[in-house]
Amino acid sequence: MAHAAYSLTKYLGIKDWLYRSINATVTAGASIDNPKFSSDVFIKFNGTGSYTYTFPPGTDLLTLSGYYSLQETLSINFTSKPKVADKFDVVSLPVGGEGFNGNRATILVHSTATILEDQQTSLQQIRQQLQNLRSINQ
Amino acid sequence: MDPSTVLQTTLLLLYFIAPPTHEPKDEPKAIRESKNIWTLQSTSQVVTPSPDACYALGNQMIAKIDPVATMTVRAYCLCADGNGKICTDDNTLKTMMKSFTVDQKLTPTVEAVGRTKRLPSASGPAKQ
Repeated sequence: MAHAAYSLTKYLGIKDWLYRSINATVTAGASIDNPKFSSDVFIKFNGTGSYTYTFPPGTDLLTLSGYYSLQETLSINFTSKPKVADKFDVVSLPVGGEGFNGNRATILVHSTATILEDQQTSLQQIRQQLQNLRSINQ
Repeated sequence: MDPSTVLQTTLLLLYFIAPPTHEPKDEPKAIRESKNIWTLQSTSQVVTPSPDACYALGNQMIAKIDPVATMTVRAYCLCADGNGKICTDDNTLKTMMKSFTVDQKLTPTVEAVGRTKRLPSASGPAKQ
């Protein structure tokens, strides 16, 4: 039985679950333990069983349950967007005559992903691919 | 200064380039270019016969380059005499030249060429 790699997201509404989790963090005043990289979420489904993983303190925070006949591993990787590290104005044109405005452009300097962040993201992707390969072969 | 060179005016053109950006339609170039980061790409100098000719040439070059989003130009007239901001116009210079002496005091001026035509007031006697 072949399934697409992301069939879980299709059937179980992972997106809605993520939205609910984020809402829960707001209403409960809680925060996900490590917003940069969350731990992997490993899910095993064996037809009749229902597995619920709860992260304290919010009850509906990062909670997932479902039924599925295939064993798959889902890795969810949170990586922070590059932040604006610095912001400064720069004049890049000389003064013009009548009809010319002054030039003043704002430059935003974004932080870049660190080597560690980059490695973690790559590793997660490779692990995901390997795990899904194993699932299909079984 | 040699009287024959008093009229001669150099038009200095500075060409700037910037990467293409998404701009709202119909936004005037003056506003668009004020928000970009520009890099000097090249310059050129053209010797013109008089300050008025210099301004006219610079003004037309600006008008021709204005529709280009990734390029802009700044034009300056380098003239032998002016008030520090505006070059003395052709007619006044020609009148001056009739009684020109070698010791005559001149104020070399750099005039920034505008997008608009040279105003009549700017063409009047520049010297106080």
